Amino acid sequence: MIVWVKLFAAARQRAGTPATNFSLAEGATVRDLRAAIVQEYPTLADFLPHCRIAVDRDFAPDDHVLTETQEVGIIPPVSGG
Amino acid sequence: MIQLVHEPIDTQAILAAAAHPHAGAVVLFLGVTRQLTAGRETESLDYECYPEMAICKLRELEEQARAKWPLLHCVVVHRLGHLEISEASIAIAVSSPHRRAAFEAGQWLIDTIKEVVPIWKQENWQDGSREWVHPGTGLPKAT
Repeated sequence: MIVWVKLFAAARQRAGTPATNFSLAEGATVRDLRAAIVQEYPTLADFLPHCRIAVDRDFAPDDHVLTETQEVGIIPPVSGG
Repeated sequence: MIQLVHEPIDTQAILAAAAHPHAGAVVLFLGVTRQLTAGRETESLDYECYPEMAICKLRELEEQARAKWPLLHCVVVHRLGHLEISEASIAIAVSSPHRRAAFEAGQWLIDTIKEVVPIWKQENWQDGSREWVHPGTGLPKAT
């Protein structure tokens, strides 16, 4: 399945793109996605562990199972306000 | 009322939105761009966000605040884009029959927004360098 991922702020800057997609096996989890991101974008390796992953606009744990239609975002530590 | 805006925040409009005949207290909090951080001088700030999720999260927080305190109105406006020193990046106005609830809700809202709402701030330092702010993480600096 193809999972589309949005990147923001420092994650977008380090990866050099605001959005990308990954080909993952059916049943892949957020943990699997994290591994795929680091493999494709080594510039995110030291940064991604500090980021949360959002699925359908809510924070998702690493064991969350992904599906193709979900909206996925890489959320660096937030600093609004 | 929840809004993300790109223009300067109109605080009078926010206070008008929080006004209510049963209100005994209206608390307005403004987060403003600070010139000095740990001795370093900021020239300006840039904010970006994940708008769809930021709106969802802000609505959730409004709902939670209304469940915790007897609020009459809850207004949160966050500004995005480029901000100069002393400009407001966020305005929170809450009204309630009595002051304690308004003070508590306002403080809880700004503290929680800073933890869970996907909005990011980049410092443009006076020395020409730029840096994403990642509070409390000890993260390596973005280039």
